[in-house]
Amino acid sequence: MTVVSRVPAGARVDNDLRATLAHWQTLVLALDDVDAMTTEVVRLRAAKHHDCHT
Amino acid sequence: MSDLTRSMAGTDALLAAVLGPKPELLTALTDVHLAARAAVDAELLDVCEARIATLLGMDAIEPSGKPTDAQLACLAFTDQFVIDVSAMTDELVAAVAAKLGADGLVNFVNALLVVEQRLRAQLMFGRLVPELVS
Repeated sequence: MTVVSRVPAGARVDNDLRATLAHWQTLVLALDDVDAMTTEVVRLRAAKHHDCHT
Repeated sequence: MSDLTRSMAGTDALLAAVLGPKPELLTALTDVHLAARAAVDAELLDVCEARIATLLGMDAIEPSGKPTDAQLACLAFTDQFVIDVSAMTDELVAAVAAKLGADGLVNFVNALLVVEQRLRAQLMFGRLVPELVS
């Protein structure tokens, strides 16, 4: 599996889609109804699933 | 009303019921869904949404007509996206880019994320709060 970007250079996401998605994700990240341990377990599982190393 | 439209209405109703106490979240989720649908060819996204629902074991009727080459490329991408996104291949990505162009590729992937998370949320909330499922 490649680790380089597969998105063609210069590709741009639709402005409205980018803005609304960023807003939605910001609101979700601000939620604090779930305890910290459960949140971290879910975060790590999602990161592994998405092959994310950040 | 098509089966897919009826299913989407069910998703909307369930999410509205669950997120009712958090209207800002519901508005944001609705806005991003509308933006996703506006950014991608409607028929293409419908076909892929039906495929996602099928893969997740939900009731869905996939279109019976012969898919276009673009739809075939996007359906192959969708299959991998749902089953194991971390194993997405360069070939699957390139095939979508070849049909939709660079901007079309990134819009499609973002829109696919939006519709997939809505369906997964529908599944999750349907199990957590089954009394809200009509």
